[in-house]
Amino acid sequence: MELVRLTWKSLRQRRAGASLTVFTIALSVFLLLGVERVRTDARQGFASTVAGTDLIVGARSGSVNLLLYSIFHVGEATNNITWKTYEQIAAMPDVAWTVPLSLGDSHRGFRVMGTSRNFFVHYRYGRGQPLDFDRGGPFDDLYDAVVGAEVARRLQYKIGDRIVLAHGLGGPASAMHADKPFRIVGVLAPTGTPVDATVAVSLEAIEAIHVDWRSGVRLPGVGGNAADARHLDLTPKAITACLVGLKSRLSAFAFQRAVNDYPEEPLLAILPGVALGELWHLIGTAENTLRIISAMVVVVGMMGMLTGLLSMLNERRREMAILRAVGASAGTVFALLVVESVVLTTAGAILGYLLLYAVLVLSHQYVLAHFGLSLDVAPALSEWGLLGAVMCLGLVAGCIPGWIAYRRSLVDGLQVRL
Amino acid sequence: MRNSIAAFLLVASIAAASVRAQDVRQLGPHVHGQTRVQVVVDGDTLDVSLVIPGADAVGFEHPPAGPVEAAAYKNAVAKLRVSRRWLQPSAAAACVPVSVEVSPHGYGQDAVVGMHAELEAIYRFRCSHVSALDAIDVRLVDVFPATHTIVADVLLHDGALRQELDPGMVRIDLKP
Repeated sequence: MELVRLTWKSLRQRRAGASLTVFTIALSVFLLLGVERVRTDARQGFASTVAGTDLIVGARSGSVNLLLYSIFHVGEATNNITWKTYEQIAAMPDVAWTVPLSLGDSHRGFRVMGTSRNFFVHYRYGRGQPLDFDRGGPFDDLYDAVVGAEVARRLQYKIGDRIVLAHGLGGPASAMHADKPFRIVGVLAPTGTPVDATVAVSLEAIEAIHVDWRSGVRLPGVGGNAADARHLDLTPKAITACLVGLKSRLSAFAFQRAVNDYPEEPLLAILPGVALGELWHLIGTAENTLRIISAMVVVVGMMGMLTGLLSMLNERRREMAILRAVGASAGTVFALLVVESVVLTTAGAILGYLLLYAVLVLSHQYVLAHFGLSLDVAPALSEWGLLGAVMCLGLVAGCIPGWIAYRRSLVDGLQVRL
Repeated sequence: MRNSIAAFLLVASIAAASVRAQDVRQLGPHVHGQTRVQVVVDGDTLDVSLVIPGADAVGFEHPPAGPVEAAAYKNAVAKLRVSRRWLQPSAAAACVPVSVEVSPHGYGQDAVVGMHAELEAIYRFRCSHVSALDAIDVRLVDVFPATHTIVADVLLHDGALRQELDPGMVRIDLKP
């Protein structure tokens, strides 16, 4: 107790330097925990984007490519699969449900996804949560659209608003499907997944807006206007991929083999979790690099503290000598320096921790809205381990000036100084 | 070891390939030294299936020629049929084998000259205490020393995951 009191008084004497040291350690702890938090939450976010889906079936490409494009809407576009094949897959005896997905068009920078009403019934995210409607409900009419939370927020859409889809990914030169506007009938509640940034319409609607397109070129009048299109056969010709739910998990691998060996069309069936595992394997090196960098920042912070303590040692010879004169042992001098180091590290770690959570609380909504990344504000168990490692590092760092002071205090005690 | 690094993107199923070779030309992965394992847990049922390259299990990838090769082939199939020595679910789960099915591909009528061959095995267990099923030990290297790595795809009630067992690793973790 006496040692802590002494340490406190000693640090108060050097409050400016001590504060800077604490701040340096706090920043390094903030970075270390922040990187770990973003890393784990990004993984969790990816992992929780699709739940309850046994397999994703698309054209043969790579499993990561198919997953990224069909679910996360990023990466290279995969080939399409024909509607006939989709129907045959959906009719397989092991299949409980399917959700077709068709990508290609956009609306003011957001992806348009053609799908069926099954999407709102079977799509799950997180720990199996279903999609909720913030307002309205699923599409019913041919020209109905459901928008994700982020689309509604950014474009300030509400139920009943009319929107026009762009052909392809949009851009100044893109053709607009202006002759067939859509009416917003539903706004989904935020999910923290790419669904938030998606405009969902029916597959028939995707066909309807393309009836006057031939070989990638629009021929006005060919398919008639929006009303005429309602009377056409709008059975889709192709889709991008489909989500598949099975009656029993036991048939998953057999179903996967059957799809992968499907003779009429080159297909690929992937287990979302396995494809994600492959993705983590790919980016694991980059993640480790990031972790090493943040760990090095902590080491640099500790070196800063060590430099501060060592540079002060000479100035504190008198302090040490007085302590020895009033009966403190050489061991007490050693302990004093170590406790100082631990106190500085603890203060820095606590400040860094508080700083991280302040930033998380303040930026949580912004990061979710702008990057689709849901950062967990609650403390994570793994962070305690990292904090423990930082504390150990602080303790070890404190031993160096402690040992020097210990040795000096013995020598100083035997020397006569004028 | 040479086999372990010889990766060929060929033949998922010689049977399928031979039947459809005339009209459909598609080949699955075949990596010597690498066994692919698939694990599914549903209710009290545990299914484990594996595909091991013929070169690793039998020593050759063509129909047995002569009594020595025939014996080697029979021996490999017998080792796969009796799994208790090398395939061990957590003891606490009290899993009992219900059925075993071993299917050779490329060692009989379905053999195609120059193509690879492999053995496929499917095991079904019933587990009295499935909640205690934490892991499965796959000591395949004990019976087939040419096995280098095991790539295991695991499908559980809360999702799927992939685990790669490098040499020296035998445990597939079911509660990671």
